[in-house]
Amino acid sequence: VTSEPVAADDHLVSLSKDGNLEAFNRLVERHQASVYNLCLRMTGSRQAAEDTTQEAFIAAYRAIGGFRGGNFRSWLLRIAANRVKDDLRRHHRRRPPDSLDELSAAEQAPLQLADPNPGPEHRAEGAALSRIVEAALAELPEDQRLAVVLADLQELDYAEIAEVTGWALGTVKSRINRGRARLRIHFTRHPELLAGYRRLDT
Amino acid sequence: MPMRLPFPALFNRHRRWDQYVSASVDGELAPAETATFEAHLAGCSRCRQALHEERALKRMLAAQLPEQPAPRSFALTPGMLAGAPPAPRPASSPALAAGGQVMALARVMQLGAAAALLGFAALLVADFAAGGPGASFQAAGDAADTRMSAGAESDGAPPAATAATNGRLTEGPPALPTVAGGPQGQATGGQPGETPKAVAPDGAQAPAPGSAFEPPSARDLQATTESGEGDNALRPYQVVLAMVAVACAGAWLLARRAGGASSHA
Repeated sequence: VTSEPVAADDHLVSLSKDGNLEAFNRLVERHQASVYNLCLRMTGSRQAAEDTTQEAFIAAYRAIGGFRGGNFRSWLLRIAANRVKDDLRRHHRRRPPDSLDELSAAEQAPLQLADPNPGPEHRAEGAALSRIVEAALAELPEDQRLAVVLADLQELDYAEIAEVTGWALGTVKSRINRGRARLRIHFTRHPELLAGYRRLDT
Repeated sequence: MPMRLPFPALFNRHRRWDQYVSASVDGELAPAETATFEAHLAGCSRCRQALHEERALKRMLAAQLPEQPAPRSFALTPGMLAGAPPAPRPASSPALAAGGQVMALARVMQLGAAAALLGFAALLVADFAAGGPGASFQAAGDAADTRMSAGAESDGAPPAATAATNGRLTEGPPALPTVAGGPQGQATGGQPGETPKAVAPDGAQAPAPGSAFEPPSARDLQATTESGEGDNALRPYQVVLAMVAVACAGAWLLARRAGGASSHA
């Protein structure tokens, strides 16, 4: 599944281990979207996600001497996931999601959608639906949220999720399953959400 | 954790198949499992429905929460890394950034305490070296006496000793102990190591002079103090250094406790 240019990552990693900041920053540019999105979906706050992402890269640079090879992205996401957990624990709760008022018009527009034609949804409804999904995600227990984010938003395979989280494969499976079960129950209150995507299913 | 599914009994019976549903949606079923699951699906409308729903859910999540572009570059600048070169650290270790400022303060205190203590010890050594061929035993006693009179009411001796120990054990810059070890080692071999140890036990005696202790040791102590008054009287800068060391050590311990509390909260 990983389409990462692993060899190139490895080369940049070994340069980084010698203290080559420029090489490390190329790794940062390559993986910053992954790390930022993991933090964003876990914290639900853009500001918290930015802070945590930056902290994660600083921590990764300092720890890179201890990286023993393997998938660099998994290693990086693991650091980021730990950062996020620390952050959530420190605040004893999830940070409040950015309120609609704080967002610029550009950010309120939902449509950085992967699919430019979002099916049956009207564009105006998109933002509201995204909020509902974000809120549902926020209500999941932290571990189930992490499992769902990694599987469904980051689209990692189970082996990589196990690497990132440090969980056994069976735990990965069970947390994905439980997280999705909760979401499905949650969305029974919003049948319009799943309707369009159900219709696509043959 | 209890599941809030509409049909708990059915769910329990289907627990195994539920994980097959998820794995199937994610394309993670092994070929043999796929065959087993498809055989089950043929006769189970509930699982067919679950598969249908979970596929829709996965699609919906990806579509409603698509990957956002990074809002800015997270490239590191040397300024972000000031004071900390890349060092091996286990990836799983939780970050120390908890009380970043507290930790920084603690480090300053640690350095201050170590520096003041070393300065104090160096001055004592210099005094003894200049003051005549005192036996190292007597010198240690003098050191203890001096400390006793300096910090009699502040009972700061134990913390100071702790600080000295910690300063060596924890992450204080490696340069400090090396630098200190040189001159002291040359001047009075082995004595610096004794000084902090000597302080603690004698400091403990201080509150109860002569009550439970045998006369000889008390007398020795007194004699030493009297004989030392001429050559080795307490100097003002020694008092200042001792107080700085005690204050730094105390503040450092407090900061350390605060930092530990916040990072474990």
